[in-house]
Amino acid sequence: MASRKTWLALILTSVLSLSAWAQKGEVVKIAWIDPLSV
Amino acid sequence: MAPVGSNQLKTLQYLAEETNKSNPAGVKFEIIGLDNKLSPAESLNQLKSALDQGVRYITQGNGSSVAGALLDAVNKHNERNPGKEIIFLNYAAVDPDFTNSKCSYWHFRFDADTSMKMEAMTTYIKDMKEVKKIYLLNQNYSHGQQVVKYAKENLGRKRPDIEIVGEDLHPLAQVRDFAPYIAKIKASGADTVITGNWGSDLALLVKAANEGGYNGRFFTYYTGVTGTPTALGQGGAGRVYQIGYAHYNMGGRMSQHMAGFKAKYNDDLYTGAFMGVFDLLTQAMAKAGSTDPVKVAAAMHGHKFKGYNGDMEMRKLDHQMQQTLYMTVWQKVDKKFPYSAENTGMTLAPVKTFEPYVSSTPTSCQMKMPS
Repeated sequence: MASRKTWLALILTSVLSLSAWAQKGEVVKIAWIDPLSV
Repeated sequence: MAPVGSNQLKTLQYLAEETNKSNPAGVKFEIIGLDNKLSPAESLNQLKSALDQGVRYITQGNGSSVAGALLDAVNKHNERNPGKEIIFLNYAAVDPDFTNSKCSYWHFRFDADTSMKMEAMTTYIKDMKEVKKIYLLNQNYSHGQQVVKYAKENLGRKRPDIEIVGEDLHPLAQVRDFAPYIAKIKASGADTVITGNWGSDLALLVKAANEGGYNGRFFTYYTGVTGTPTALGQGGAGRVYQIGYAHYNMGGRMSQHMAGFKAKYNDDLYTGAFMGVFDLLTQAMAKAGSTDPVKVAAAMHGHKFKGYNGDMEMRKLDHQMQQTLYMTVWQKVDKKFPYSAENTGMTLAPVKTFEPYVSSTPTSCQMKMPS
């Protein structure tokens, strides 16, 4: 039987993994600001 | 300067597409091209437009005059809008002040600055005993002025016997005929010209030199940039040098992307700094587990990695990329150096490699860290 500490660690790891996973495929916009007509 | 901008926007979009196929953070980049007309005021309008579109990352490079205005605006925005910070990815604006007196936590420079390139350039010139008289011809804005300043300082230290026989600062992107300048250079007796000119200001300069029969050497920062290879053509072989963080024939990922870009656009990919941008961004985003600029900036701060250009480091002290530089010379393509610049049959061949420690220059930056 896992201890309370182990359960907490597992939950924390899951939350962090989910957080990292959530950014997969995330769109990051970059604005390029430079001359195109001069 | 528009052809340079057009090439670099295509380069950024191409490398974004390539990065989107696979990267450590698993993110997708979308590039929004905004024309600033080479104007600091128009750049601020475009920054506002970008912010209105939810942009948190901006990139700029063509002109330190523009970069200075954007840097001020980014700093003010971040001070006034906690939680909505933006990051300035500087790929080519090389005024040393941006990583010295005007350094900012939110600014990251991927090109080597004017002082770093001049350090490497003059280390090369130091051993060329045939260089005796130098003319300094540059654009009249911060970058050109810095080239003059660092050329004098470095040559005075490394080759005090070299005579500076003349110097001119001309308006940025306004001179259509450089023949009068070439006449002055010839009259001065200069055997070598040092110029930080870029875009049409370099292409028209070398064209005038070819037409005017000037046979001296040119030490440049931007020979490989759009328009200059065509202007040089078969002329200038063995006499035109470039100092830079990349070159046409370096192999590895740079050459792979250059080949892909040429196949797609029949144009040259020369802004390797964008590869550094995507490498650092994606590694930092993976490390931070987030695309939030505050977390990503913290992850980029001091990050070291193996890049397209060997060992690279976004120095903590000032956010100036530390990297290898190359001295190259204009010559005909051959088996060893086969890349034909702008389909001229000519190329820039490496003659000297400078490890990062050679061109690394000290900084006076007192970086203000975010609270």
